[in-house]
Amino acid sequence: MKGTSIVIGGVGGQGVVLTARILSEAALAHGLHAQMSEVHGMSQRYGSVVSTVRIGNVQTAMVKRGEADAIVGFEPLESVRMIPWAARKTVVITAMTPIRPLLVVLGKEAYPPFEELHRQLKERAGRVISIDADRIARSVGSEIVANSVLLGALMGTKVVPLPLEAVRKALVAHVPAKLAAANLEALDIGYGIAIQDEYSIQFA
Amino acid sequence: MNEEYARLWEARAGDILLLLGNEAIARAALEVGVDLASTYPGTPSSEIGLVLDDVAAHAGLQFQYAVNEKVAMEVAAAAAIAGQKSLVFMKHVGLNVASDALMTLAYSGVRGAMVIVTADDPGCHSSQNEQDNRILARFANLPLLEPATPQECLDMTRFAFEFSAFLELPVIVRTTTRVSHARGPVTVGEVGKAQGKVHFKREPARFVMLPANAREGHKRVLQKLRLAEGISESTPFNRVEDLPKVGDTGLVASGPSYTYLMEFSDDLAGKVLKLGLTNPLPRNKIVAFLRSVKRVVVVEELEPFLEDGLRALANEHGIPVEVYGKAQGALPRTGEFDPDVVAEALVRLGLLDAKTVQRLREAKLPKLPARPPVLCPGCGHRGVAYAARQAARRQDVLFPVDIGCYSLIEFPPTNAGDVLLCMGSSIGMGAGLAATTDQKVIAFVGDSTFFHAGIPALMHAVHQNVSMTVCILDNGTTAMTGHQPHVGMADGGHTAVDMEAIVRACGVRNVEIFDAYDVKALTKAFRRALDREGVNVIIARHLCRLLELRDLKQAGAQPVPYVVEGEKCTKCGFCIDAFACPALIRLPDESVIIDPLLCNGCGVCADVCPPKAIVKVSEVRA
Repeated sequence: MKGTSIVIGGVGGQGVVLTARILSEAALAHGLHAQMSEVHGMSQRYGSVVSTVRIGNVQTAMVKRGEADAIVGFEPLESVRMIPWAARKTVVITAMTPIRPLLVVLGKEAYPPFEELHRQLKERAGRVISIDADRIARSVGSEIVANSVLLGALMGTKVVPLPLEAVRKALVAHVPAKLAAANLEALDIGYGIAIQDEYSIQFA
Repeated sequence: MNEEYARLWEARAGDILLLLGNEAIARAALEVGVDLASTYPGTPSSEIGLVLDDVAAHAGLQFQYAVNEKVAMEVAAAAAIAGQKSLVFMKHVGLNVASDALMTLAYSGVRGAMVIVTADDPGCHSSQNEQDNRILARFANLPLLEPATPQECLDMTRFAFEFSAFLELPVIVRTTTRVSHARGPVTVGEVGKAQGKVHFKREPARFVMLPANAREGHKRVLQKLRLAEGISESTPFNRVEDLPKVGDTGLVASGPSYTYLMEFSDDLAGKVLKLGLTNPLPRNKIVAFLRSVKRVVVVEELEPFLEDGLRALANEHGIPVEVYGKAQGALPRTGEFDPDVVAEALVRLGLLDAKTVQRLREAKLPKLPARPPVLCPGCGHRGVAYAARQAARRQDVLFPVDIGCYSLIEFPPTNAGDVLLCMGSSIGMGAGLAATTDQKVIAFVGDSTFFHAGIPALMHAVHQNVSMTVCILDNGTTAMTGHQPHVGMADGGHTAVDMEAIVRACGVRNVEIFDAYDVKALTKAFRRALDREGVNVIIARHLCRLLELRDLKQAGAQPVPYVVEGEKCTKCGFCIDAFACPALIRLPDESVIIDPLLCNGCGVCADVCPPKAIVKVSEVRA
């Protein structure tokens, strides 16, 4: 079965499902078959959340381990938690701001340093793009649009067989009108970062 | 109408929408012109209700959030017996609550049409068990459908209504989390029209289940099931598909397991029997299939429901076919399937090349701190659990807990959870623990859960003269499943049931009501209650902070966050070690700050902080 598989993960409340939805709606509107898995109920309360998207002629939204084309992590620890889906062919896009789980807050477990998490991602995936999405989002007006920076970077990797314009349309249709401009700007910045990243890989 | 559900309601025949399995079921109900839909909310079934509740007025259907699943079942049964089309839906364990009605409803049958959706949860994503409700369908002798995709959710639910009308029996549609909460393209049909009020035609021999009538009813349901078997033989939901490669292996699958299996269809040889209408089984079709292959692998989640049926048929007809499934452990009987689980099994059975799972076997997850869900910043439950824990210091107190967001108080730092079974069990088990142990008991139950199943247990505790405290966490909603209303609320012209009056009417003399944010008063109240004989009820009331924030936002306001006055913080860490709101952050020097983005402004931490170093931002002295 061919098709593009994307695994998106983060902490409940970060907008993981919405981002997967925007991508899937963009694919469907572009005439492609798309399926996704969602998380509802208790896990939404600040727990680990994963949503998978598959575009193309596939049977299920569930992604096989080691077969993600791209992994998008909204939080660095959660990015590493998605490693079982990664292989050499996988591009990982990860945010850099940690959100500390309860047992870390209580001092019962330690949050690994970002360098260590990044190393674990590099060890498994062919390409890792770390983006300070929160800082970029603040620069365009609101931390709420950090997801769009990461979604833009995903589109910039060209892993998803969709034009950026299709995602722009789906994004505008799914975010509050007053945040549309900031989201689009964030999307474009993320897109640019991934393009530049590829450029630097090729010529390094 | 919610914009999203408006789109679902307004879609025309032939439109393709990206729908959740649950939304597809709701759309199917609208297409057949359902007259009445009822439920008690429960993940993974809840979104069916979110859609139908929202569009009910436009569709001319009656939508009812019932006090529990049994009542939802009875209301829907009555509608269908009277001649309407009804839908009742619930999570898998909800069908346990409704099963008393269900088992006998099968005997009486219905006259309009009735579809029962049970949303099972393999893997316990948001449930206390992973029971396989296909067994309840067989137990009740009712027809059963198992959709594999959101499109099948629509197609099978529509068919289930027709099937029910034809058989005059309720028909069960059983989903699992991965189809309830999978979103995929669904081609919709035309929306139908509800018929409105009907007139009940009396037929007591059929609908009054006295012993003489029940004996006939039992025969009647079995006759109808034989009729259903004919449909099971001919429906395209039960079909044989040839794989690209010829072989002597037969693969049998139902539900999402079928889609996992077909991910590998290019590499497999033989043929597939895809079963969608699984009670009654299409026996002739299965016998012919078993005769045409050397071995059969049954791919189904949880119980060996199809497998047992296949084995019995092979035995009955003397077919020398090898059957692989749960019996020898070829496939697991616990947990959720995914394409990897299916691939591993097929490799072990020699049906797939080992290189298919090579990547899977290389995939190792490093050891990472876990991230269980936690109560939201500003959640009233956190303070109540903190207060109970403070009051219970230096005493041995047991904390039965119940179903809802507040089951999370079992986690550190409050660890206020010792037993949890099912809806309402905190009070029943609390009464049992109080009667049989040398420990004291504080039972926690939510408002919706109290109405659902807590009241009989409370009466029992009073009647048995046990000494215990019941704390009702009244956040004015059914929060965890998506903020559905309950009988204690007056939304939308409903009559609110008075919780305090019920508690008193149950015979409880010591009833105290506090704001859930008032941790000082609550701590004292718990202390008093622990020293008192008899049943004490403490109602800790505060609207779910998420709803309060929504109301604030609608009024154009924002919560005022709190802040730690740095020079006053003694770095004792008590606020985090005992209360642990996610907005409290411990810095490397052990001092604490509050994340202004996470703080929802409840202010409870200000009462928790021993040196009183936490204040409202607006009250910080310049």
